[in-house]
Amino acid sequence: MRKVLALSSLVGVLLTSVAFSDSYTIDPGHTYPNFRINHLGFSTMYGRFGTTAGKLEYDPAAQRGSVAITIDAASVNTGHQERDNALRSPDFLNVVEFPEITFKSTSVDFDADKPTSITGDLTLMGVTKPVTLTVTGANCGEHPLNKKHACGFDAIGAIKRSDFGINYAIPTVGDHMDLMLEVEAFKDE
Amino acid sequence: MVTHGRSRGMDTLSLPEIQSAVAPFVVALISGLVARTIGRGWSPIGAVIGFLVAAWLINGVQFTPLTGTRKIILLAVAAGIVGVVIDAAGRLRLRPVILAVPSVGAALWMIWNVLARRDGSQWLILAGSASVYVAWLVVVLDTGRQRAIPTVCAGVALAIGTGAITLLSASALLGQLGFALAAANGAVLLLAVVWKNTSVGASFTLPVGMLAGLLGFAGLVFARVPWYGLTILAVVPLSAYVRLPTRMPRVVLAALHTLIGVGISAGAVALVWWLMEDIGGY
Repeated sequence: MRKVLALSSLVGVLLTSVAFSDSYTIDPGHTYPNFRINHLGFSTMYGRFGTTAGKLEYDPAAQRGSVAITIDAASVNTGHQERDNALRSPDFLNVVEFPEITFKSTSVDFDADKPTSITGDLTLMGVTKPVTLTVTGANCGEHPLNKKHACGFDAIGAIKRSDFGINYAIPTVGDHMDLMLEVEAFKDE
Repeated sequence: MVTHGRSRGMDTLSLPEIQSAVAPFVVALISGLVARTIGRGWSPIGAVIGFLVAAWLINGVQFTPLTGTRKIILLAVAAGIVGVVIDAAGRLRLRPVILAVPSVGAALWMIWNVLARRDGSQWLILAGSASVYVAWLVVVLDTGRQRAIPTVCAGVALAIGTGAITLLSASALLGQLGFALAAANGAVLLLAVVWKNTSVGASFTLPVGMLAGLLGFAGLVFARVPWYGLTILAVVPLSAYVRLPTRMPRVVLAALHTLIGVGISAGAVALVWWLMEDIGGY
């Protein structure tokens, strides 16, 4: 009986601590995965994905958090329609065969109550690889316009596109890519 | 344009014109000459060998993830082997059916990732059109094989058209592979012009027809090749059936047949150029 009570208490504590993690839904209008890559050796090309969805779990006091983002691969935008068509083609993102890019965190490191890095699984072209993003800023508070509780963060990391099987035109178009994530999310009611 | 894993001295191999023109032509020519020592009907196998070397230069040997484009490269190997087996088997009853079955299988496998997300009439239309397009090119090309030069010319023109139309439709990768096939076919054509007794069999018509069909349809499904472009390209193999005076020199015959085929291909390319918006990329 004592064992049952002890176990029940433990489960209760765990459930309580889980309940303290607030759940947030990503604001797609302010959540954009950006990237930059060397273009033909001349310059750095910047682009972003325009359509995202996902959830955050965040409890800075308990140094606990998670993020899961789904990106519409076809929403890639470099400000140049013809190049975007090429990026959507089998040469690069192959969006017809692999319409979704996902990032799911596996751990979040904190310094006091501030997140410092997010490690997670990035799935691109159906290939999943671990990626670590350095958090360059994070904040929570009341949104000044709609008065909802919101959280947001910026994070940056790097990948080699060849690791995900996107190997066309290397090194003419760079292999190394920087990923810059800007995320905002509203607390679930 | 993959270069990783190679030394600086091999940087030349990363140039598109080397990958899609020089390398497949030279490899197809050499392998065709070597294959000819086995028998006069074997030199056309150089086309698929030249294509595979170009595909290695362009794509590397990476097959993960197994995309539709990478399936095409694997299917090139399979089509070459099946073609050789069919040629070795000699005269076959139901030859068009024997060639159509692997063509349909190849078309469906290439687009399977997309078919798996479709159902009902969408599935039928996509699967049916892919199957008909690829099988049509293979069977029509093969049916004219008794006349080697016109058949190879049709293969050259079909590959040029496929390369150009996919390049215009936002996939330089498919475009490069199409032009590589054209260059390899060009080497086979050269051998057919030099040696009067060159014959063409399924070791040419199956891989060439299948590859042109798969690359074109991949462009339609995975890039932006419009249906009307492929519809016109489907006419190109019929250029082998045009009867020209048989007494003319083989080089003239080859030039005229190539011109007819390329003329049809150019019509497809011109129409795509004219009607499509946002052509180009990079």
